[in-house]
Amino acid sequence: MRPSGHDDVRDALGDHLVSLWRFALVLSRRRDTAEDLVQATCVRALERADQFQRGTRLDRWLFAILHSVWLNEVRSRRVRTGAGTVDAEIALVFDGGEAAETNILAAQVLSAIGRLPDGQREAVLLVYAEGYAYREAATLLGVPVGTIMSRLAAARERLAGLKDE
Amino acid sequence: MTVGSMAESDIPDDALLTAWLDGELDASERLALEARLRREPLLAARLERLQEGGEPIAPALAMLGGSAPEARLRAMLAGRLAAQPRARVDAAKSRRRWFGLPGPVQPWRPVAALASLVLVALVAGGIGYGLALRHAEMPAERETWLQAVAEYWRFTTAETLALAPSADLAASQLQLASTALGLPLTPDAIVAGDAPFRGAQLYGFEGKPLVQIAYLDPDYGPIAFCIIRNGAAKNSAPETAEIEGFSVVHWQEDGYGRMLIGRAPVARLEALAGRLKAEAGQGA
Repeated sequence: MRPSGHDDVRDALGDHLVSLWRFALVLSRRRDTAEDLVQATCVRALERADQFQRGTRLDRWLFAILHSVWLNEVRSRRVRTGAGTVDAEIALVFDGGEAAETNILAAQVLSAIGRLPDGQREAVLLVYAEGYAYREAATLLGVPVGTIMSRLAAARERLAGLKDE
Repeated sequence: MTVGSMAESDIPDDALLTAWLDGELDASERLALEARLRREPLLAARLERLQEGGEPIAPALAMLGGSAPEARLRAMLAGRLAAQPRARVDAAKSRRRWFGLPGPVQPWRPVAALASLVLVALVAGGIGYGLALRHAEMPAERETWLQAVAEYWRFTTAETLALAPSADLAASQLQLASTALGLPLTPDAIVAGDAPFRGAQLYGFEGKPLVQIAYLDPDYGPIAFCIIRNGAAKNSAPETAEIEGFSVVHWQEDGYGRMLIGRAPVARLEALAGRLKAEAGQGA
């Protein structure tokens, strides 16, 4: 018998693909990289499924893996190959011209989020989209809680400025 | 408190206001800030501005999630689950495959609208492997499509078929298969009783289009219904066979060869054949 939540990971991984992809997109601001990142996260999660502790939150575990893969592998590879240039203006905007009029504000907000510095984007995604407590976000990102607060405050200020433009 | 060990006076007002908006202040911090808000109109104005800035974030990110390439992600996961069975996997080897790649070479890149590329690649790899083996062993014997299917069907497990395609993906797969075969394949026509549909893949065998429709039988595991446009002139009624340890029922009709293959008893496949013969892609 397996001692841990190995099968939990296999069985429930599919429930988290969309939120993993969204996190990956917010980190990388590239749709192709985001898909690679989700795939790498799935590979790593399946390799390490025995380490997942039953009764803890699978989504939090997967997010930590994705963030670690991003930091250690994908980003360094992009830096090495000089492929890190991103058109932040468009990276987070919806595909194509399908956005209904009601989505225009959302598209503007996403575009503005896409222009935020890395640390602010991460904090915004974790706290405002995924419901992380400040302390949880701080742990995942490896920064003090006060840094999460100031990043979120700066992001809010920047987005409030959309109306001034 | 949540905000940590910083003395309150050390925290910039914007951060404090943000923490208040996010419900991250403990009771004493909250009361202190609320007292200041009553006394300091400028601070209250800052609060309002930060609140406005934060309001559209969650809805916008929710919409972003809605634009995820979910079908492709699911197909990718199905491929990974198939490639990493429930038994232990060789972690180092698996990682090297994806990240030891030099430079900008990407491990996996979506290029087509049809989503199950990884699955296709895996199974197609299986076909190639099977064919290579067979040709090496029996160079003189002509490969039959029944044998070729049986060779690669060995690679399919219940886990390969663990994920059901979304309705959109299923419709796209059937559309592609119908077009390639020149046969109408509708979701209704390919229903196989209580064995749920698990996707349709298009292959080629000796230049002829070959479609494999997969089902996951609750009792007997994976079953495939395969159709090849082989142009054979002679019709034949369903016959049973055992190939590579699988039960097989196959028949030929109007230029199309059809087969059912699985580890189910032959009688189960014959019953399915009766149904599919009546419904699936007839009368083209």
